[in-house]
Amino acid sequence: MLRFRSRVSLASLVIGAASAAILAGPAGGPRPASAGDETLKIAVCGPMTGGQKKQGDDVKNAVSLALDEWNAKGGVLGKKIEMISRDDEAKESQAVACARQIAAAGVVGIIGHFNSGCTIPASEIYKDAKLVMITPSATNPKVTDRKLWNVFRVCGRDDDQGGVAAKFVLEKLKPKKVAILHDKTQYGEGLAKQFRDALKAAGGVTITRFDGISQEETDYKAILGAVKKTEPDLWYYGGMYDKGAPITIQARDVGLMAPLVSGDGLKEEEFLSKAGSKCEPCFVTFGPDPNGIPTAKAFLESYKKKFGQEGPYSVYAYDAANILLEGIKAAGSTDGEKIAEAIRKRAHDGALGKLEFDDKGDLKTSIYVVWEVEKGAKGFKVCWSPK
Amino acid sequence: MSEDFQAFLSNLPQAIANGLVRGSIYALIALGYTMVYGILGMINFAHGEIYMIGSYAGIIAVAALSTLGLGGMGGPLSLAVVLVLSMAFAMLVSGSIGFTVERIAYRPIRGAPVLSPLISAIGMSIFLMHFVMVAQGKDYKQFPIPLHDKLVVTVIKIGTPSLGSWWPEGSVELTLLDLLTLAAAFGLMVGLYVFVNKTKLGTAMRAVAQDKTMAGLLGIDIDKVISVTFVTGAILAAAAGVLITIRLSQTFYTAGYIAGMMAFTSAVLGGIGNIPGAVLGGLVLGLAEDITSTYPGGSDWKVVVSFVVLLACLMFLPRGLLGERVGERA
Amino acid sequence: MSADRGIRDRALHAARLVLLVLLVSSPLVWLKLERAGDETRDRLAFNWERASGLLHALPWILLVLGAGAALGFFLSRFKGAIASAGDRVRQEARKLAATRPRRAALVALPFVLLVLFPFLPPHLSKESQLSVQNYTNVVVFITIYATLAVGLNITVGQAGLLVLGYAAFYEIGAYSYAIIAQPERGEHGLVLAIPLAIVASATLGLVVGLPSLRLRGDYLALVTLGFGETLRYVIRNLEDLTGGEMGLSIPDRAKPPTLMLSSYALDRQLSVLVGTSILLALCISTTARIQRSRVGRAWLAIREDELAANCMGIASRYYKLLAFVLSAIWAGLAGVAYAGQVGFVSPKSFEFDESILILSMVVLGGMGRIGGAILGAVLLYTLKWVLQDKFSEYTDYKNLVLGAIMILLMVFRPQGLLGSAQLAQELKGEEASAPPPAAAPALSQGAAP
Repeated sequence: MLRFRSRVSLASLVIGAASAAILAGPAGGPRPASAGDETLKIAVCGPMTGGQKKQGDDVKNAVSLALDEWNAKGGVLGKKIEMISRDDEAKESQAVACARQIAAAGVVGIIGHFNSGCTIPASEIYKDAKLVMITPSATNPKVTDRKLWNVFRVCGRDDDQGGVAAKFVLEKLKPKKVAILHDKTQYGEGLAKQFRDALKAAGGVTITRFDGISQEETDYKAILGAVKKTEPDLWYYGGMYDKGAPITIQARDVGLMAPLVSGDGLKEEEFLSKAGSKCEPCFVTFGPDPNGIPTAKAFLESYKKKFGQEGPYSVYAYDAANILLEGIKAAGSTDGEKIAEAIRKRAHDGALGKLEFDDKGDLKTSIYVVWEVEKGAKGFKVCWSPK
Repeated sequence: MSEDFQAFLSNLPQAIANGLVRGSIYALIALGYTMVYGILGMINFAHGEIYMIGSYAGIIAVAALSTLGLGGMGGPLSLAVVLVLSMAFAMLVSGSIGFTVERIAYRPIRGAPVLSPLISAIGMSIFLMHFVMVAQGKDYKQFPIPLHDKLVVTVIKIGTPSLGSWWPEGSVELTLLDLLTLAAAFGLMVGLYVFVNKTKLGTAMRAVAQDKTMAGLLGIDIDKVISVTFVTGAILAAAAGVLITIRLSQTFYTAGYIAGMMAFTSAVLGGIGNIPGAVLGGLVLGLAEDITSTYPGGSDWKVVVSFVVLLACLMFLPRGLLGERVGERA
Repeated sequence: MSADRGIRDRALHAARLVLLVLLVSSPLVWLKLERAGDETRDRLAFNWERASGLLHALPWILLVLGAGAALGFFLSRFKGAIASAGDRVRQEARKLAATRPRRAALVALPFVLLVLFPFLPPHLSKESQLSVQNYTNVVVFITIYATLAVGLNITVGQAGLLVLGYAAFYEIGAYSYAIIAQPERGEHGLVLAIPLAIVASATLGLVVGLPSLRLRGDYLALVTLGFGETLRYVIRNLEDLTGGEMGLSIPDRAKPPTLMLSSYALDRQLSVLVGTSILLALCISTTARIQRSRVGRAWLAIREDELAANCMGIASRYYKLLAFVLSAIWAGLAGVAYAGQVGFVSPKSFEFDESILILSMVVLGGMGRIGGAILGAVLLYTLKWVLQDKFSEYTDYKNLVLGAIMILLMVFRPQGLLGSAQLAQELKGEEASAPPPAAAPALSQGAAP
């Protein structure tokens, strides 16, 4: 009995030691300044664990950069700004709990949530708490179609993005047969459906396959082989780069060499470095080139210096944070309704260009253009824009 | 006959080939579940994580060799040597982690009813998954593409003939990697068979599985036998991890979940505790998955189909395909 | 064996295990794959940042280790004193709870306070209102999880049927509500949702239960797990009905009505809280009554030895099905409460880890005990919530901690926090004195048929 007990207690010590060793990593890092009454708080909420974690970090980093710049200029309304963050694990139940925590923490506004499914229930809690939220990435039309006064988004809508991709494809690539795949997420499937519907509406194109590949799946050869046999002239992928890279590699492995068209989820340096030149020819829809916009240059430079390569939603998050803070400044108050009104009235000069919101909280102008992967997967360049 | 179905039939031979490759990988992992179950009567839920750790270790070994300028791209070592070395390293890492997991989480509660070790195993699974996430980061780890490309070349291409108007012609392509995977998987399985049936340690293992108390009385070191079982299972899982990482070109810290689930299902399908059963179960499940996802819209339903196969099997053969009569268990 | 020898042996053993863990984990901990800008492959490097981080954290690690060692030493030295103090407390408690009504009142009191708290403060500033709402959300989820844990305890704890896919029943309840609440189906509210959820989850309970009657132990566990996963995929694939991965949001008109009681009556959570409290109270009282009845004794008999139970004339098939159906209904109702609280339902929230979380609550509290299931739900949800709220910088580590806690708990208290001493004895019983509860099947003789 004693031996049993001793073994048991030692086992626990060992696990404790192992966890402590791992915990050591962040312990060395800087800790945020303690909260005082003289600070305003802004919350960032998105998935910080799980497959989309990097994107959650991209948003967090960009917001913290914007806050640093404002703080260097003396903050807003004479107060310093502080950031708090919550992990919603991309789950609705967690998103609701996070939203309540954020509301109780006394913030003045929220940048987030990242996924549409989390944004929708959370936005109602923020509405009741009279807080403004700006999502940098929730592209589902439902997010703003409910016409809540407190919801804005700085990214485009799925129906918009899928439509631009379809227009581009019909005009430039002129396919007869198209295969469509998606990653069975709210984002990916929504995008793929919008693309399919836009193609169907235009007519003259056969859609050979429309298939989902679930998030847990890692081996796509069976489905890709079947797609290849239908000999599509191009294939569309609705989804994020995390699955996008291996799917592209495996697609080329099974001999599916047709051009790949996709959405903003693949416009990511990591996609290029993982898939390499195997992804070519590849076209993605995304916002306009930030390098072409002078205001964006400074952001990209300082982001790279501090956090390394920016993600696809970093610029959006940076603009979202700036719009929120300018709204607070213009409203001269921390009252949510006043801030929302100020944001709606102003035209913002963002890193993405001139941004104006309509009544629903969507951007007035479509921002999507088509980017092409440069030879040798060196990077992306704009190759087509609608109109 | 619909066009979709015709296309499905012409893809079928390829789907069967892919299914066999996928199934042999499931079988390698399933062996670990079934061996531990045979000896301890517990589901080692953390086994999927051991497989995932094996895939990480394989990538680390390849990166180490190429960083040292020894092999991979341009180094003096050939591709085969690089593969063997990385697989050996993965087996070493996974094996030692399998050993440690048993010492820490299972040995202290050996003999408790099903639920305590199961919860401990689930805890260990969560712990290991997030340990790897914290230790190695949250992004996908990639197997070097140039090496991947050298292995994913078609070496066999057979056209399958048309069987009248209802069966269109098709073709089967197998890559070098597919053949390597099949060879490695079946080589390891034969090795395991010889180990369990022809060596002294294997005999001791079977003795412990039959009657622990009696085996102890006969002077068999039960602790040692159990450790060996865990390490053996982990080694097979590590091999599967390396093979599948090359096949998919990448790995991720959650990779153990779905693979573990499928492998565990294979083990149950074949009759848990039964070594040939695990292999058979893996192959059946691999085939079911690949054939389903070849059908248009089928990839959405393949998990459903896998479980329906399992359910149908268990309805008629409650002990699995090759399950033997075993004692009643609560 | 002298105490000093014992301690030295333990220290040596601990040192060996620590060394083993450090050694085994080192390749993953100290090596990192990194990629320079334009390269196409990762190179391997030593993780210097982790080394410096470890150096910074060294005092803390030593402190934690020292505290742990001191605690262990203290516990082992004063074992007798602690035990006698515990006995005294137990005696006092027994005196206080001499009669059954008093006992029931004592158990119910903390929960009543917990649930009533959000209603108490009459007028509050906006900030405190928001804090109360935040707190209310926690209480609502605790009551939902407690209902789930008590429900799962029926199958796992009382009848001894290991169910690994419990979230499926929870999910079908939530979807029953969300589906009929859609505008194209008439925006029906709770009045229709509750009976529908009961019917749907009870049917699913039967569907899962029937094929499971022939299966035992781990086969049963896998089949329930398979059902859970299958249902999740089916729901995800039936897009026209369920919205697929996009999920369904519940329109305002179909949401639970608000209460017009206090100044912040508009907070819909309060009515949800009233509903979930009633649900939990119902669940506890009926489950407790059934446990003490014929049915409960039949479950116990089946759990202990099904063969013997059958021989004694207990229709084990009927009782097993009953356990499945009852357990499913509570989960279905909890699902309705979930949908009412969150207002949005998608398959993402009912993954396997949800089933595991509920099972962990049952096991943590002590299997077979209703109080244990509730305690487990309170502790685990609170732990999860606190890790999320107060340690949001360390969000990466929360699952690491959760996993470690599960292992430690099973190693130290396999009977759960409220588990009985008898169960503990059974669990820890030496292999020689008590027959192993599950006789391991023989490893097959090999590939030969």
